[in-house]
Amino acid sequence: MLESLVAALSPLNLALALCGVLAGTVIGALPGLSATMAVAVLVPFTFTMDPASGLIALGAVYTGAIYGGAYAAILVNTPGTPAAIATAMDGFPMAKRGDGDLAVTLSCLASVVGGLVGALALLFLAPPLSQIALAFGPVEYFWLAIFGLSLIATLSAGHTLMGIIGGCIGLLLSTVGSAVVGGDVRYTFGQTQLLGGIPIIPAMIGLYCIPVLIDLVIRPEAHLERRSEQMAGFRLIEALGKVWRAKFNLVRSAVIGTAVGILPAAGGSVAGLVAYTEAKRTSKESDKFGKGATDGVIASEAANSATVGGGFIPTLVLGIPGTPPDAIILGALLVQGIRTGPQLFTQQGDIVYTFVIGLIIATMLMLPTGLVVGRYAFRLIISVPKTALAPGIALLTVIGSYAIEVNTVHVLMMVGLGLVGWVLARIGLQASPIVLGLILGPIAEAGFVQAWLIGGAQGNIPAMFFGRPISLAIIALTLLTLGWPFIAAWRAKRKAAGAA
Amino acid sequence: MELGSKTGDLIAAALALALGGYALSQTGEMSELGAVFPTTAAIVLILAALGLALRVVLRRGDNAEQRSLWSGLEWPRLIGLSITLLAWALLLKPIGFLPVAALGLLAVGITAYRERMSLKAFALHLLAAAALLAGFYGLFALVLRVPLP
Repeated sequence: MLESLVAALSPLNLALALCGVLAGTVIGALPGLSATMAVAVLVPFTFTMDPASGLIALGAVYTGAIYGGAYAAILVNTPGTPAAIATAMDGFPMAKRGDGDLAVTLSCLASVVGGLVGALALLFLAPPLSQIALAFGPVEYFWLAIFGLSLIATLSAGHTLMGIIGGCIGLLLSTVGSAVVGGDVRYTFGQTQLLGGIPIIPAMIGLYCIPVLIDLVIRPEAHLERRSEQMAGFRLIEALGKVWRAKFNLVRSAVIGTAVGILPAAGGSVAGLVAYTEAKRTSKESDKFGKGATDGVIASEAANSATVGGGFIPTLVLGIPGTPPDAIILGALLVQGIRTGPQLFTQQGDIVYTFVIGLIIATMLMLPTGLVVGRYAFRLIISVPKTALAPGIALLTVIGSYAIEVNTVHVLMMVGLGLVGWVLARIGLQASPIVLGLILGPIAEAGFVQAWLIGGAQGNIPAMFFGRPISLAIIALTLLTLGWPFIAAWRAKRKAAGAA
Repeated sequence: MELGSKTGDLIAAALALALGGYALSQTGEMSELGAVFPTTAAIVLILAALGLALRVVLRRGDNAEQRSLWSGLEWPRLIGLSITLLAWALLLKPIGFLPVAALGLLAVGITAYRERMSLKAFALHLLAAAALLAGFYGLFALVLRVPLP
């Protein structure tokens, strides 16, 4: 492993890690440009490199892009990547009240810690942890998606019915087009453009970004609060103090992110949402979540960055990609002549260990890079006048929703959903439950239908849904999450009665 | 945003009822497996909408807040921006990325315009818009090789 450490610290690999993190951070910050796209664009450049260097460059871009998604989430309420959805929930309220710089620094620190936990799990625990991926069947994915949906109750405390309505609208939107299993054509109104369904990223850009753009144009007040001392520094000491106080939340979220990253197809958005839910459930100040709680930003960012290392575990050990960027990196591995599998760490250990150590170095380089880029992104957003900021955001929304699948219809869908989203927000239906339903709907439906079919073939559907230990654990967590607001209210009432 | 408004709740309940009813009515044409998920979502949506409507009716006497949902809006800017964005999306393919984006940037900038601007500031804005457009065109079309219309 010492040789791998020396190889990873070579000037070329260090330069690749730094440039990769920087490029990934910038690409991830632009709504519509996902981590998958960032990695895919870079793959051809790595074919001429030696395998370890190429992998380090790809891993650095991937880790930078996941972190970069936080900027747009915090500063313009538009998650740069789906992984940053939960970051926007508290990051943007923090920016609105004048703590955008603190939120950016917190997200950087949490991302670095989360990324390191994921990468260390990859380095030391890859073979045993990869077995988790094999233990997850369709029914576990179904319950995991339901657990994610239970976040709606957490998100909409005090407006639970509105949250449920938003979530159901999202779920129904996710059923538009061809069914995941069976191929039924649903709710397309005879339009062939809708056969592929509602695309998640353009929908997310529309629902989050267009309402922000409209409010930016129609309201005279400034986009974000600005304090006079905000041009001075990173608020690093303050952020370090907050991260230290939230150390249990940070580690728990990173572990959740690593575990969710191991699960194929779950990804950073699910990890961020699950960690956010747990952070809110266990927080003594859970009422502050959604209103700019620093713990919410820390949980989401630590979890989504940890999915990078977690996702590499099944990719390298089993050849099953944990996330879409992992699938592209798996392709690059095959082109380089590297055969994934349980023997990879012993037979081609020099390449794999150099890559993993390079990933750890890239994650650490994210700290200075992220702080500096974040600082300039924040200064830019609060300094630019509305007459320049609004057209810039409009251009980003159009180009971002077009570029993801090179489809002009997606731009129209984005604008349409955005305008509808703004009206819905006026009547109290917020974007987050709708987006949550849209993202988790296909995972829940595919898991449900497949589990139903398998259970039917085995002649015992209830046992399929309620008889597996991992499913039962997730169901228990879901019930706890749903019931927690009531338990917390009851405990507070009892405490108040005791004090009186 | 006007969270908690009675009018808003009633509109949301009506919209949800209509959407849930429509979604449910379409499930008859689907296979059994294809219909399970939308049926469940539609039923939950209808139940939540009924619950919301019931809550508004039960709280009829509560006059805590009754600000109009649409107060404080600048309608000309809202309509101008909506038309600009829709036109941008619709004209992207027939006219092409660069001319539509240039017009779109200008139109959005005009709708956001509030304070008197000197000629120099206006020129700076135009320059910034041109740089932004050139930067994004370069990034997407040349670096990322995204085929722009």
